[in-house]
Amino acid sequence: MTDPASASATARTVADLGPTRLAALMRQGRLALQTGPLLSRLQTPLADVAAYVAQAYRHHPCVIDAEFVDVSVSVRRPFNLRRWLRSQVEFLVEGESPFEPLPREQAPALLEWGLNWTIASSCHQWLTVHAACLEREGRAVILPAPPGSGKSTLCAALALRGWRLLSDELTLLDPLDGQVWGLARPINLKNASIDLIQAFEPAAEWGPTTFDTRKGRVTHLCAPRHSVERMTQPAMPAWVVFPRYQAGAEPLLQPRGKAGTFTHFATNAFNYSILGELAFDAVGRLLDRCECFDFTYSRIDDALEVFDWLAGSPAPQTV
Amino acid sequence: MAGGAAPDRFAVRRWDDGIAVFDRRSGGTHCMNTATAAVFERLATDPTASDDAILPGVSACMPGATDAECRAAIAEARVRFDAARLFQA
Repeated sequence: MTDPASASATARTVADLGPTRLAALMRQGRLALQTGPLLSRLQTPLADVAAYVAQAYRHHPCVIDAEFVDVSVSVRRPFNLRRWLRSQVEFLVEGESPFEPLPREQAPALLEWGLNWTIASSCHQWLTVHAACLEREGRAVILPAPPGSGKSTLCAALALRGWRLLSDELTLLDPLDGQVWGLARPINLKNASIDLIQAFEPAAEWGPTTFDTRKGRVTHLCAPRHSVERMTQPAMPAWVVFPRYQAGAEPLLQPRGKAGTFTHFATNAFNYSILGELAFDAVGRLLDRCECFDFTYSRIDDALEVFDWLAGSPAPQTV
Repeated sequence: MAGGAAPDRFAVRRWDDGIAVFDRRSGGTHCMNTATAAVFERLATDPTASDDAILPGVSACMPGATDAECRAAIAEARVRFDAARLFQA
């Protein structure tokens, strides 16, 4: 029988490999996936995780037998007694497991959550902020917000309507030149947000849905192809917008103080304390450059209109 | 700067609604509204400054506030600065 991983052609994207070869390469730990500036080795013997990657990252470039990778992770069943009682799955980074195992059916979601954790805890060439980020015509908007604020729903809608998705969860701010980098990874949506975005864009591409997680029903919206194709292009931030979904609210965009906004970045950047004064300076320059707003909304179409207006506003003069 | 603080101990960013301060000694970041920032900026130049000396700067940041309210703001800022050990040797 031919080993499907041994085919000699060098793949350009995950889709080029086909699901069978992709699964074989992932089983052997030979596949590295390009997401923005990061190359991540993904290893798993689990067919559903490989199928998820084949589906959710189909447009992403990949490298076989990469000599250098930024992170190396794996998802597998743990070698403990519980594998015989209730099937579980664990995430490992560089061979170490930073989390407790999760129920087996959450394996694809665990890959995404684990990758987020790995990037946030190890990629200190950037200030890594818990925020979504999108770009239009060279200007980026950063959307920091706590869970439940509607950040990911808004991010998904914008990414499906002309904004380039940089990231839904992790904004990578270069502390030296102030640009933000994208990962163009799938957008994690939960519960009612899934139905809302499926109705909003029926042609959107999705990963599988997982039920009964700690967050409820979760799934991943695939990054639009145009975002993936431009994922190695950084952008200069122009706005910081804190979205807040509020049922029945009219859209309201209000200027927000920069000292108050600084507090949010200092407490929601995963590696702020590691980068120290470099992070302080980076956030300071970011806020000098950006307009900052609080944004309340209840309807996606209203939100899109506001963001279209924002994108059409003239860029401030720089001295 | 008195109190044993080195002149370059703090990095400061200023905006209309307040300031952000990076303490190079501790690695801590402190964000302050304009009234607290007025106390900080005064103490940064003279850690022994009295409340009376600080009051005009704080009053300017708190239009409509009474002297008592401004003095309360100064007292609260001092407590915060002590807790953060910003002006201690």
